Amino acid sequence: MVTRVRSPQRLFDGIVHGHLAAGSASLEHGEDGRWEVVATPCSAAPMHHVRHGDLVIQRALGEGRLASTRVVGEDIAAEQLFGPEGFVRRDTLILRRADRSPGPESSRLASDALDDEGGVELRLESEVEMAFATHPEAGDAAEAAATPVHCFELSIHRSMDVTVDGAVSTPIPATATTPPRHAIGTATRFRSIAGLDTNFPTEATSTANPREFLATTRGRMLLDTGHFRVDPGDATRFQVRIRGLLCHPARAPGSDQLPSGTQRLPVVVLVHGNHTAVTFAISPTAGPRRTLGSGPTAVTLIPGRATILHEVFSYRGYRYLQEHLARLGIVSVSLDTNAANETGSLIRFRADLVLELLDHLRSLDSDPASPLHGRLDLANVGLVGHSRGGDAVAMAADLNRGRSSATKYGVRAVVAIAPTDFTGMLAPSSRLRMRSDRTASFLCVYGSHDGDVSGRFDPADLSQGWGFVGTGFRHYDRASTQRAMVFIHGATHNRFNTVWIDPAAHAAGSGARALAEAQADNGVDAPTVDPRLSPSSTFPLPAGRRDGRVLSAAAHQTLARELVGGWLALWLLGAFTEQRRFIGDQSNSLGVPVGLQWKLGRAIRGVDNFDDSAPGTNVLGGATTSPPFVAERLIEISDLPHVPHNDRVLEAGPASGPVRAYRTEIPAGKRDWTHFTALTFRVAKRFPDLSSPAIISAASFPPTLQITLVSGPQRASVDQSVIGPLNPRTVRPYHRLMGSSDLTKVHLQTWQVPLSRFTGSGGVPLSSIEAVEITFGAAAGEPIHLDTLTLVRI
Amino acid sequence: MSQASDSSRPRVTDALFIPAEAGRGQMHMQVRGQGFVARAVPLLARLGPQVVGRIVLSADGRGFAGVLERTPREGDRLHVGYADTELQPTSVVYRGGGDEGPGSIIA
Repeated sequence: MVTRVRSPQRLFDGIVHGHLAAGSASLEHGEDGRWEVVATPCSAAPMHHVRHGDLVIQRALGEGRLASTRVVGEDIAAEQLFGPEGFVRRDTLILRRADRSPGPESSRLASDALDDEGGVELRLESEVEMAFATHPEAGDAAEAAATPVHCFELSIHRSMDVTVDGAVSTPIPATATTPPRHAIGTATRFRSIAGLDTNFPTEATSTANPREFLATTRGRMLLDTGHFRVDPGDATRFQVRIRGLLCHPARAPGSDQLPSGTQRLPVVVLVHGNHTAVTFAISPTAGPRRTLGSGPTAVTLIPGRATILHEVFSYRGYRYLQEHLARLGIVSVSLDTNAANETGSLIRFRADLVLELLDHLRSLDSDPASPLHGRLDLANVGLVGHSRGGDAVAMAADLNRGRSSATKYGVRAVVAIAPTDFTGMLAPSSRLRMRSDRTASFLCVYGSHDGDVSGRFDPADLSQGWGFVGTGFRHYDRASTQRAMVFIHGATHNRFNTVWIDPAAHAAGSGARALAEAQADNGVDAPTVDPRLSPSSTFPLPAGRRDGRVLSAAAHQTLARELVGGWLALWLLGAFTEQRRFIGDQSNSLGVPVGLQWKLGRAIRGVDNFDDSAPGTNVLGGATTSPPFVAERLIEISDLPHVPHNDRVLEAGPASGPVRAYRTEIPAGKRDWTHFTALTFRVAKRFPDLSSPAIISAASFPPTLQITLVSGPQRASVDQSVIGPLNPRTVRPYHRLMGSSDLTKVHLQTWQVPLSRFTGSGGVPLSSIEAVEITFGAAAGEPIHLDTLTLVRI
Repeated sequence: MSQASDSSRPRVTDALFIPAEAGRGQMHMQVRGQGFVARAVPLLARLGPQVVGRIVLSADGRGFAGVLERTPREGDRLHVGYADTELQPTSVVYRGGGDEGPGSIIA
């Protein structure tokens, strides 16, 4: 039954004092009809749920005082409705007209379903919504830190297939002229108990008797130790444990309740990567023994049963980020994928676990007995993966795409931290690609000092074939949804996870513990990154000193909060101002240099990505004209050492001959650029010598360019003297040695040139741009690479 | 790009070959040694030309188990390494049948 109230003041007081239930009370407001409550005072309603046209009742607190009504977007901005802690102000009640048609929130998934390929336009959000959305800025950190957060462990078992895809079982044989190559083995999916024995190798554990071993399989060991369990409904099958750490904003300090209200909160799933997981103890059990061989060298296998000696709980290593997300109003679960680590999974098992967890969260949202009942916004989901987890969340988004509309989640953001790229060298159709039908946005965060997913590659050993594990650069290259990549100078691999660098979390005496003590990703790096050593900025690094450029664990956490948290705030909460971090308009709070790539905006129109097989045209269909010293080229590490990409770009050498500029024509119908604010592109130059930081610092940089827009006889040019200062955060390559391996990466960075620079006196009309010309200032031996020529409206 | 120093490489001491009970020539192998750290980049191994599949590492870093889809050839040597480094030869060489074959601890 709905209680209809005519007085805004009475409605406000009735809800605040408990006389009226927010879900069943409404306001009769003259000719505007009936208005329902969408956010109550002090609730954690996310700001992006507030829409243009919503009605706001603001109560002047105190007896006998009045309430005022205002309209969002007309009389008051959305950010004025929220206190510094991010909750709805205590004097504010927000209403929405009951018969209002679906607004931008419900329509935005469809509006995102466009990629930048083929020159189509991509819209980030409705302009109205993005215009007033904000979220706590750095200055609000103290207030945000005071926001109560509650975290708890969840653990259930679910029936699901286990996929073993880590096997390298389909080698491509060597020929007379080619070495053998490997491929990811055919994935095996199963959920039968018998499969736990047949899909894993027999493991033989030593005993005191050198001729006797305790034998079992990894699948059976996981069953013994609770990672799997026998399906209560079918004894021939097993179930997989779904375990994780869930964090959410709390009603009050010490409370385990969500903030009061009815608003649904965005959901984020975090996925750790491959790491030392379970140390098993094997004890003998009854059962038939097996003898191998004969005579004095015979070996006896004794059936074994596993218990856990030690376990590393990797999923607890992102709590710092989860608490930050909770303060923003986001519910997150960090998923335990130790079962995947123990079965050697590359990607698929991990991705399946993500969707199983989301399915479980949906069941909690539907369960009236659950404290999460009706509070999870599963149309507003972010997936965050670290290391192999980065590959896994990309695959999870891909698998989610194939689900029915009834079971599909609204993935708004995929974030990959230091991701592996296991699919980048497979057949193109098998490569994970972050398109807009998988996720509305994609962010990659990767460190220049990563010692695990390092991009190391030995061209002399192509026999590893698929084992050429790529980095996040390749993920970014393949993405076509709205995206950004932040290459953090001095960031490592493991320091984003607090458990991975915690010695106490690892078994005493283990190699993993030794690495954790040095907070190192590998044994080679350990003596140079150990925080217990004194820092040095000298090259070569003196013995016994650590590389002073390597960021501390605390810095990794700060940057993860700002970057991952910022991206999720942008895409899940509509905090549009966060975009500045990713387009070079705002530095991080630590001032750490980063290399940025991005393709973001309220509207995007690709001009050319140089990926098509017809280099004579751009993606708009216009013709291109290249002078002899400019050509499209595939750049990849096996071809160009130090280049972490796998992408086709425009490569320009020193200019020569009468034609100096590359020209791309804009076809009729695409010449009105008044809708856009900037021209963007990715750019890099080759360095002839990267052998020391000093040499890199002394080299000519950044690359020099001139951009000219042509409109009939009118031409307007912007040269490096303008472009350079517009992109002041462009970084030189980070010199990186790991042992004797030179891992310095020369990567593309995105630059923007405001279109306003081409207008005005002597400029061109943006309503009729007929061509873009690019003049390169490449020196001999130092070609310039350019890619992703794009129009954006920021 | 050149290789990292040997200090980061896992070291193999011996291996045990275990014929699968119901395999079609399939053979399991338990490799023992040191320095087998779980990383994002997977550990790879091959015995002669044959890739060792379904590798699972021991969390204590003292080895790994894997599967060979067919019986190795006599003289096949075990090579081990992570996917971002060249696979290094080890002292483990498969010696075929008899007392030096399946079931033998080969160092």
